[in-house]
Amino acid sequence: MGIFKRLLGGDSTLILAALGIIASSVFLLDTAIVSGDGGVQHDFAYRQVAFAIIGLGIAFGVSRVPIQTWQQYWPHALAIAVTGVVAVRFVGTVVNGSRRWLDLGPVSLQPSEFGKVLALIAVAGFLGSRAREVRTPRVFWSTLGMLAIPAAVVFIQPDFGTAQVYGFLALGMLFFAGARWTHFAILGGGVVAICVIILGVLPAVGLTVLHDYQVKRLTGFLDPEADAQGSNYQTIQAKIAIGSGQLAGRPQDEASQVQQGFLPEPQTDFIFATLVERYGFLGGAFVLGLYMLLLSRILAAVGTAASFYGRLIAGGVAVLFFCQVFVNVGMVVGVLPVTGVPLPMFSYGGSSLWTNMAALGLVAAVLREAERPGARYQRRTGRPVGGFGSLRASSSERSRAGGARGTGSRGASSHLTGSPLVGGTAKRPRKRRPTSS
Amino acid sequence: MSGSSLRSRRRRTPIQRAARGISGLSSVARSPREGVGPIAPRIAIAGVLGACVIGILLLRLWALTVIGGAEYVERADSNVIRKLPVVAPRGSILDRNGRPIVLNREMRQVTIDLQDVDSDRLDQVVSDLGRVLAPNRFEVSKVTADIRQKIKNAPPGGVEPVIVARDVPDDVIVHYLAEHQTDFPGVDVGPAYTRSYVRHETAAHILGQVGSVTEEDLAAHPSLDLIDKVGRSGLERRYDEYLRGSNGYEAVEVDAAGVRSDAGIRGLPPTPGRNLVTTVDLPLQRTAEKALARAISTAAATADGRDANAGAVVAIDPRNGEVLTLASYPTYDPNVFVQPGLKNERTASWLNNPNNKRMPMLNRAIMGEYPAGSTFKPITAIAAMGEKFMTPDEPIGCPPNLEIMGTDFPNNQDRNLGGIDLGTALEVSCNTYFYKLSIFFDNAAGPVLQKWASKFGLGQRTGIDLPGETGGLMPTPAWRKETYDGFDEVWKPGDSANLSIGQGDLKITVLQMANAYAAIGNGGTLHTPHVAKSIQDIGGRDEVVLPPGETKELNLDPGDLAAVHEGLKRVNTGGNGTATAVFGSFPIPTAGKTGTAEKFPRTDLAWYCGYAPADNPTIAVCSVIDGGGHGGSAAAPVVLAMYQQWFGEDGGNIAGGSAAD
Repeated sequence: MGIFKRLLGGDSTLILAALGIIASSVFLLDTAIVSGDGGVQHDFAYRQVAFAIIGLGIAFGVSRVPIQTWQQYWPHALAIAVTGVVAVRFVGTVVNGSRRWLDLGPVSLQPSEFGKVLALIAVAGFLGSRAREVRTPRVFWSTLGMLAIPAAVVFIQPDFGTAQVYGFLALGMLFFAGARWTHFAILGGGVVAICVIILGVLPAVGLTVLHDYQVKRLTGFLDPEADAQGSNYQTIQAKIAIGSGQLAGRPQDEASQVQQGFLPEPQTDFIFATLVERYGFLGGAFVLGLYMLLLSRILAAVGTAASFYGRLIAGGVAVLFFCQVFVNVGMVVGVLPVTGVPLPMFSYGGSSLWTNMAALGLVAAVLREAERPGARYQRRTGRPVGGFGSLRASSSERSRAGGARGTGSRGASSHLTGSPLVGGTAKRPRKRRPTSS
Repeated sequence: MSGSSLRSRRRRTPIQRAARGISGLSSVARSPREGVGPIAPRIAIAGVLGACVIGILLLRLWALTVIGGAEYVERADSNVIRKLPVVAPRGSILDRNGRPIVLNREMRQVTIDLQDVDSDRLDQVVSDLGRVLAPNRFEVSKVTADIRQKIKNAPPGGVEPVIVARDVPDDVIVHYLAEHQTDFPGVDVGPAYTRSYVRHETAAHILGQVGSVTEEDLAAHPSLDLIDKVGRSGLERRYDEYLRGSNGYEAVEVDAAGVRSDAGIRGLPPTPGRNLVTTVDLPLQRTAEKALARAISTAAATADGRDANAGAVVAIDPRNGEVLTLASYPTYDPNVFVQPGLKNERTASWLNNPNNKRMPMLNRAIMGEYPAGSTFKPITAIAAMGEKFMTPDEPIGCPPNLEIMGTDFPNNQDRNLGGIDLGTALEVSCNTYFYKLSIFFDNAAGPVLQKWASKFGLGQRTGIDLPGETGGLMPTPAWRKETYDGFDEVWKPGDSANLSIGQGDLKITVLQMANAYAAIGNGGTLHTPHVAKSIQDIGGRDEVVLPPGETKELNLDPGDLAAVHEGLKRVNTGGNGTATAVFGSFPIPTAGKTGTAEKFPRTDLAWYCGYAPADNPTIAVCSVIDGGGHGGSAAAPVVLAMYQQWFGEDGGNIAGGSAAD
């Protein structure tokens, strides 16, 4: 357990859940994916193992970086995220009618995947430096506006699913930051109105915002049999794959939906259908259970976080995982539209795996921060250890104190104390405040 | 979770411990200073919301798998991917300079897959198809009946689609069928290839035909598909393995209604067949065929050749055995077998009719067995000199007739030429000269002349790379004994006399004779004649030269050969030469021999065999006209026309041949 402790800040349940998901994925890829001639092929499993080893390195590396380090770089993260998706827009490779890949010779990367964790860092940094204004409408709408840029570009790619994830991310992090319910309510009303306009009013007057196929996908899942060969083909084939898995799944040679190629993207976007066809409800429930376990531990980390920024990061990762699982599984079981969101750490592919493992590395860094001597005291009192002249202040703390944007000499503690949610309410004036914001 | 928080949790109540899933919030909530911190309820809300959503997903999963599973199993099992074969284009056949002789024409064919049509719906689908495919409304019932017949003829339980219409010309039909797929379950319009004989009759007998695969073919070659075409005759059959590519397939998804759609998975593209480059010189082949037809019609108009109705020509490169021309008359246009249309169908059935006395499909150049006549005399001469029965300069008599064992053998002319040498005997084609030599052979121990003739490949298959070649017959005392009873079973001196001038029971093919003359012309090397030169990929690259057949040195005495050679030159140029009238004015020296073989009761068989340029031949030709009368007047002009094509009218192209287009 010592290694786990070092790796993920000591939460062995978290890391076991994560490793369980990856191991299940490799096991599935090894036993269910067929090659062109119908035989089982193991290549995907082998490569996924390689990806996972690299991913563990990434997670470990990220977990060693003190979490506060990232805060000052939020504008950079935003810029990189936007640049990445914009670059794909112009020089990317079109796969399946969608321009999502950046072909870098031997490797192809999906910037929109890395964009997810970059967006998370951007929002966390932005909100973290405006801790006391979280309840103001200005911060609420700017946060949404910030992610609207990459979301819009991703939307045009077209990659509706990732745009959806950005939306979830912004809202979820505002939620954990303590934004007002009234703002959420106003936003909800606005979204409903916009949907009505985009889907109903604008086409009626001859303006099209969404691609035809996008509209079909967004509405088609409500009545999949309507266009069985067209836009709902994937939904139907996924449902057949899942349903035919029954309770305990079908043997490999009978799992015809994957074996004969009816199921689209059996190892990436629709891997959950592959799982259920092969291992039935029990297999699906097992993996969903692992996600519930993982999510509960990330939520726990939100509570454990020693700083407002760390809490935002952990909360963001929770939202990231949750909405990816929800959007992907919801799509596969036919309750949500078909969008290109992979099942985190389960779908085959390096970009997605590395992104999600980096996110878990961030959670580990949050937990490490909470483990730091004096952190619990700080959490309770709102006073930094350094304030007592501790000689054990870490180097990361020193650098933070000197360099973090929007912070005073007190470093992270000022954000924590500035939070409306921690150690009291925002209404109560604090002794120490950020000198600038 | 930090160790300290775990420790603190241990002190809590079992209820709190049960809430470990969201225990993060409890640890925060329990901190004295943070007891009222609003993050706890938010985490709780998030946890409950998340649990609810995942719960809904699990319920949905339960509904799909456990409750609705049986139905989906059925649907999964009725999802069918069918691998529709994609026929590989067959390789082309080219002449020695790359001129195409047979190409593939891509066409569209309409097929119906009976597996995809309900039997009660088939009738409706077929009549709809007839309506769509018929060129006008008057032919609807005929086309419909035709389709029904084709479906009826399909092998029962067959998995291959039935071809209901080939060569569908109209784009409108194709699009109509594609757009009304649901009305035509199992009906498919796909590309197919058909042979296109771009030179029509030219080289028809060399090329041969392709035909549909039969059950026997499948048994012999499991790699074949029923939809394939295989070579049935000629080069198409001999080199089928190269010409035929291997089929690919296209993966098509078929649902319960028989409607097809792209399965979205990759099929296997077909591997095209390889081109076959032949040794045939297309201009020479064409010239030979025209000249042969003309010569036969000319001969048929004369009294001596009134029965002329068939013939054959073979031209070989004496240096290597490459067959430059191989023609047979009567001929036919192979396109009638592959092009649609009533007229073509009628012609095809006439051609294939076994009672057709003209036998146009018979390749007379390799299957027609004829008595050799006087063209055999050079062989007799070489044998006699080889056995030291005589010398070329020794004068031997040429009386108007010769009595052998009480039978009178007449010469072909009434004049008594007295003692003549070999050269003169060949020049004037004196029969009695050779009868006199036959006495030596008759007295010799064993069938000596037959042995020499066999050495030149006469009376046996040459081994040419064309299927169906026949060997002919080389009569020997043993053969006679075996074949006949009583008086006829004894080999008599008259048999030797007949053999010495290529008559009697001797039967050879034009190809054998052409090859023997090639050996005389090249100084005594007998090649295996061959028509295929190389194979190349469909783009003309990656050429692989096919190995030529065996080569045999005959080890002839150069002096003997020179004497015969001299005599053959005098045939074409001498004052009394039997072919001087034809070749005398041709600018390039030529050598050859005429032949007029009796084939009672028909008019005589006209032969001419020769080679040119006489001293260093690049071409050896042999032509025969069945019933054509005199060799010099009927058969020799065919060869002259070929020399004129090969060397140019003025003999300017001394090397011979034709350049690439």
